[in-house]
Amino acid sequence: MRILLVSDLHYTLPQLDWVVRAAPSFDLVVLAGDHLDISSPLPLDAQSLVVLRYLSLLKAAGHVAVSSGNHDLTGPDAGGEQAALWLAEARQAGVPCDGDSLLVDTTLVTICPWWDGPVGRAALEAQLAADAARRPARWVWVYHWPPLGSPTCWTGRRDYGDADVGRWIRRYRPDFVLTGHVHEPPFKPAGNWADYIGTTWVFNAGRQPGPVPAHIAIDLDAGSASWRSLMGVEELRLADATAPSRTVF
Amino acid sequence: MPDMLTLSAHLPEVAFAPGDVVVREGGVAGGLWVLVSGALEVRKGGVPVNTITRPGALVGEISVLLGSAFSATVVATEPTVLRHAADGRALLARDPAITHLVAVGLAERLNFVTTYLADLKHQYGDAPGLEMVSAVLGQLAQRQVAPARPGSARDPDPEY
Repeated sequence: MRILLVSDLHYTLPQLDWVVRAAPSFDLVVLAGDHLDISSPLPLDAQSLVVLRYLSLLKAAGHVAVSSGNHDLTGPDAGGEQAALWLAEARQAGVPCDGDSLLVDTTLVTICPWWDGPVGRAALEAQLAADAARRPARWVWVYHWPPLGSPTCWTGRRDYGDADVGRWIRRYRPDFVLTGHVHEPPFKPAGNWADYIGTTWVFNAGRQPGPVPAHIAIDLDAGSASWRSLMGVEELRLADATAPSRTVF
Repeated sequence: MPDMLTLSAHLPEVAFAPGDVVVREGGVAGGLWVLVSGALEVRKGGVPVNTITRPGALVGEISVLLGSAFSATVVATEPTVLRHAADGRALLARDPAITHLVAVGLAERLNFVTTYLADLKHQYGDAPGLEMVSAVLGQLAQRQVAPARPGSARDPDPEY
């Protein structure tokens, strides 16, 4: 099983084009949030309409999992907290997204929404608990924000992580957590695109300009993962169970 | 149907010298301008993107309708006269004929953009993003949703 991880495309259309073209080479394509960009002059309503079309193209190509990030929030949900309301249209079109869990072969993929308050946080905890009770041999989370204290959230100046997901990782011990949000870590010597916490691999491809997004390819059958960016390529063996040493600097 | 010059005849006229700014990008909206004579240049980010010379052409109607700041700077490039409604929204509310002409103008421009991009897609459309352009425009033209309210309380930093 081959997984492609990208995140933080921030409405960069050539990068979305690249993902559509690359998708047939993978068994699962993961978009880990921030598909939209709140700083763009194009209104979010127009951006989301375009991204929904990309998601439909990806669904036609195979399995896809889409989580929201903080840039994807478009209004309050029933609990009064900010949410990516537009992703409901993706779900109607059959695209697994926020709050969904899907089984790809024997791998359970839990798609965690960006939670923006206590109601959303509690809902996510319930989702994780429910999936923990039925976890198969392999469990993958899609969660926008990397855990606090990991090199996958090191900006070069500060540790910019999420404390909650760190606690949930230690509690539930998923096999993989696929993240984004913090753009710099893979491009900083003290940062990283991968980390091994307990028995969990955490990945964050980072963000780069240009038509090809920084991305991570995980080959579960080969037991390897690789990060590709403008800086070069780095690889790791999943069995090594330790964050990879940096080679692109 | 009367044209915009006829319908706006009751509005006060303002004269602009070459180089005078009529509206400034990012400025507070609210007013509506009607070109009577002369020529205007539209600049976005300091870059000229259009010229306006047709008598009866409007300046500021999108800002009035959306309640947003001016999206471009408009500068007179020769001695120019415009009519001014300080409260553009009130003008549209009390004069359906003017509102109709505004709607027609917006529909024409939307049609220009839609057909141009559809042709662009026809000629160059081998990228997924280009192939969907005409469909997206068609959807946008029909879309009526509550405006998005962006932002996260948990991480309000727009850098991430």
